[in-house]
Amino acid sequence: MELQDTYYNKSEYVETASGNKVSRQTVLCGSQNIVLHGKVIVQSDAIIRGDLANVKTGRFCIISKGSVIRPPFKKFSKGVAFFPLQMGDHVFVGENTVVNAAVVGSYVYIGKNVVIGRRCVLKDCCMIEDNSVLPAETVVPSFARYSGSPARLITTLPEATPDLMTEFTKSYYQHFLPTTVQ
Amino acid sequence: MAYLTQPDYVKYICSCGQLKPITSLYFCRHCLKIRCGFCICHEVDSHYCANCLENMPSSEARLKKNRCSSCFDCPSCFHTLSTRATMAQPRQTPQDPAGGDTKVESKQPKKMYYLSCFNCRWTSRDVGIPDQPVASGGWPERTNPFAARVNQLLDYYKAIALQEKQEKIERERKKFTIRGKYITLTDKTGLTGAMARNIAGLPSSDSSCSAIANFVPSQASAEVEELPEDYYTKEVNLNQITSMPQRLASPEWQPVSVSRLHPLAKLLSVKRSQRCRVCDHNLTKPEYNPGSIKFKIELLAYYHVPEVKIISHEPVKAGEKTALLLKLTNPTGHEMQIKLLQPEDLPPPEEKEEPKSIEKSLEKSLNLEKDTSSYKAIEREPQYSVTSRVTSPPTALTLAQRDDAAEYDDDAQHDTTE
Amino acid sequence: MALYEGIALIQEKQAVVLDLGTDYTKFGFTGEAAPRCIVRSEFWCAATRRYRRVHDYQTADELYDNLVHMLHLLYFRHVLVNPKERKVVVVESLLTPTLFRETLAKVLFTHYEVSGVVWADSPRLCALTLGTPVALIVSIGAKEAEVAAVVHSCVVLHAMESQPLGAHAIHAELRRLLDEDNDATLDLPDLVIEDIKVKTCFVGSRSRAQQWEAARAARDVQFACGERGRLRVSGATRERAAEVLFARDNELASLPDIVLQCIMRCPIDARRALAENVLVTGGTASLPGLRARLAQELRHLVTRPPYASRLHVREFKFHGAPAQDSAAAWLGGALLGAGEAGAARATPRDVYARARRLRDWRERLMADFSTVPEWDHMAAVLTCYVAYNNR
Repeated sequence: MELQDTYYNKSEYVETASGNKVSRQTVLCGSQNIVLHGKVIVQSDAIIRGDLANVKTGRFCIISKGSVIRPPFKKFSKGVAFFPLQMGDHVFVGENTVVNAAVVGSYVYIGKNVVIGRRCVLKDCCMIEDNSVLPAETVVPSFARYSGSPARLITTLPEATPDLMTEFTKSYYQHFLPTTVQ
Repeated sequence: MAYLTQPDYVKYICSCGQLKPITSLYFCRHCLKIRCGFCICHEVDSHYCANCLENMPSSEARLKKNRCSSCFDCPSCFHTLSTRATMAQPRQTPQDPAGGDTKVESKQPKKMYYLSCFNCRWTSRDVGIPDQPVASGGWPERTNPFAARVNQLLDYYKAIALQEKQEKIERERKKFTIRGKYITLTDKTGLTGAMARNIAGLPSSDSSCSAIANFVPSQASAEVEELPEDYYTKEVNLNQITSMPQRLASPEWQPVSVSRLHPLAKLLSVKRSQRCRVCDHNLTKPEYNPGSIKFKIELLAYYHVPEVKIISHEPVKAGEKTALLLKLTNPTGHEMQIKLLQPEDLPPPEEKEEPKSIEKSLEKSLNLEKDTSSYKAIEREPQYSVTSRVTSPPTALTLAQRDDAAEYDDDAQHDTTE
Repeated sequence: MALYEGIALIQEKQAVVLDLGTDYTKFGFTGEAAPRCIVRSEFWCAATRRYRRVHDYQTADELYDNLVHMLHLLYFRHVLVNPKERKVVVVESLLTPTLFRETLAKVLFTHYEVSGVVWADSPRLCALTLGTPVALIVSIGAKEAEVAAVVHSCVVLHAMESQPLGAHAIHAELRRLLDEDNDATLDLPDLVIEDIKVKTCFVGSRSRAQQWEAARAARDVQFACGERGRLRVSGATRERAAEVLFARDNELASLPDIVLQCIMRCPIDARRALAENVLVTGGTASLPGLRARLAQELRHLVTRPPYASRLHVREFKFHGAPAQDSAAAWLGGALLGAGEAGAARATPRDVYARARRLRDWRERLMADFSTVPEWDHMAAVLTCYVAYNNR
């Protein structure tokens, strides 16, 4: 099935020169530390904690409603340090999902209501299904499909996943349209 | 991605008769046929650890029983264990267990490592495994309690098999030698059977004999271990008894008590390459590097076969015509002609010329015979139920080739749609 | 032997041993002391988005698909070797349905293109792990308890006994008792039932079972069970769930009964030896106290009618296999496949390709051996071993 158009209130969203569409109803802490690499959609009520450490996303990322992107911390004997969070291109983060990962590769699909524990590494081309919990410091290899709590490998993804993800995020971006009031 | 999150609405018929979504199909460039995971041959390409993402040569993997030497899984919840460091005084008093990987400033405390699970909080200290001075490896290994006995049995049966073989040879020889006419070397000279065996590289019969002679069959005993009397009245602590998955995770020991759980060396993963069974060409071959998602060869149907998507459809009512809007995409660099047919107009699959097994070269004919027969076995009638009829436009459609330039353009409506 | 083995290694890849049980599958390499993996016999079905059991099938095609998926999982997720050009030792029950056998052969030979398959029945393989010429194998699996007498590496076929007294029978009983304990129809999933059984249940001694009311009941257990909260598992339930294996009625079909009947049907000169070489194996045999109870029951029942007059065996002795209970038959397969004699008895692919079907022992009982073309390959594995053994 082809994606349906998603309409947004034009006054709510800010569109930058590089094509990022960011809702005004988000909490972007430390916005000087947040880099969105273009054509990224950040939907309402999302929280990006740039005040803790740098957050970088690639192109065509979708941060859905109510999700939290939060750089991970690590405990040392002398205190706590935060690490930057990197996200590749064509990443989808579902609704109400908390991402505490250290690295999220490209072409990653994270479902809704997912918790990605701190300092997880999600390699390119993987999928975390809805309602999963990934415990801290998990490495998710490429072409893996994880599900459950704690999330486990259940099956593998098709080889064409990079193209599927590219198409998905691109068409999501294209179908993410302002409401035509007229 | 709709393919991964939604049910498969559009299915293609593979050349073997299976109905599959386009994402799980391959296109063999040499047979020009669609193939699916069911009718191709999967092969192990390379071993790697999914946690540390290190490659392991397959010979080493075989030696290490397909387990990573530095990563461990939690024996309790099967999540990956993390190595944690603590400062230990030389007197072995653990200090500040929550300490992280700090640099050792003073020479006095020594860094010690233990394994800990971030999911269920199991640690290697729970079962009394001493902390290790090095971060990776060095964890105590356990041996199978039955290993010695199993090796005895193996030697015994091998010796018997050998003896059987030798006697067979002996019998054969006796059958065919004509007594008295020729005097064989072994008969006349002191060159005995043992020496002949030695020359042939066979082990001396003595060793096999001794393996047989020294073998002690299992001894049965009349006593059977009974449950201790207090078993009935004892309080059951469920936290101390392992569950079935926990037991079976280590097939050699199958611990019953939680205190016997040991870290499990992480099982390696493999990259698979896939091969067409008919022409033996590779359909996919992954890059060697475990972190890479690239392929050296990637003959996916997604790149060669027109993709059909349902854009919209009206609810289907009996006896009425409804509109069905399809989107066809040409993924190739060539123009494509497409004709929509009814299911009954499908050309029947062409008959395979069956080699009438004249055993030419043995290998070849066997292979051919096997291959076609295997297809006979696997191939099935595609099963689909038809509840409605699609009236298709009678003309052939022409899909222009994929416009790579459009990728850079923001206008994605470059596909020919219908 | 070193050089010899070296050559063998180059020529022949290490074979794999497959024991595809109803609930658990044991899979590993020949020559090793334990299977590489013991996993549930189920696989992830993408279409229905749930785990699917291999043994849930209606048609041969369905079974074929199930087996393809299961073996794919075993080969590429657990054991990580190419199935092609590798021999397989299949550990099977003598009572495996023909459909299952034939389909498994089809999958192995045509889909996975293995170079040969050794079909080996579990009683003889279990006997192989002991090394004794005579053994009585009591194997209590998921669905059935099978008693088979192995005399000089031949199964006494007409004496074989089998009853649906396996883990599933215990599970059903446990389910019923738990419903009684908690006054509700719980309808717990199989995995939870199994977990409760594994963690709490045991088999009491015969004396306790006799004076059931008088004996002090075992402790109750509160079993935490996810969102259902705590379940009460009474002491009686813990003790009585496995009692179904020993419940006697007029049909004399309890576990000790079928053991004795098996001995009774064996040749008279083998009976004593059989009774003195009992091996209790199978996953359910690890239930605490089961072996002891079986021993007590056997010693008691043999003095009672109808056995007392016909069976003059008074002593029972028990073996311990050099493997965990659930993997004893598998270990036999690993021993068999490692030896050259076993590997040579594999049905090669070309033979299968010509005949396209397997021979079964039933046919062999009827047929004249000389008419069976692949007799050499399919002949009773290992008879030779014992011939040597007894010289």
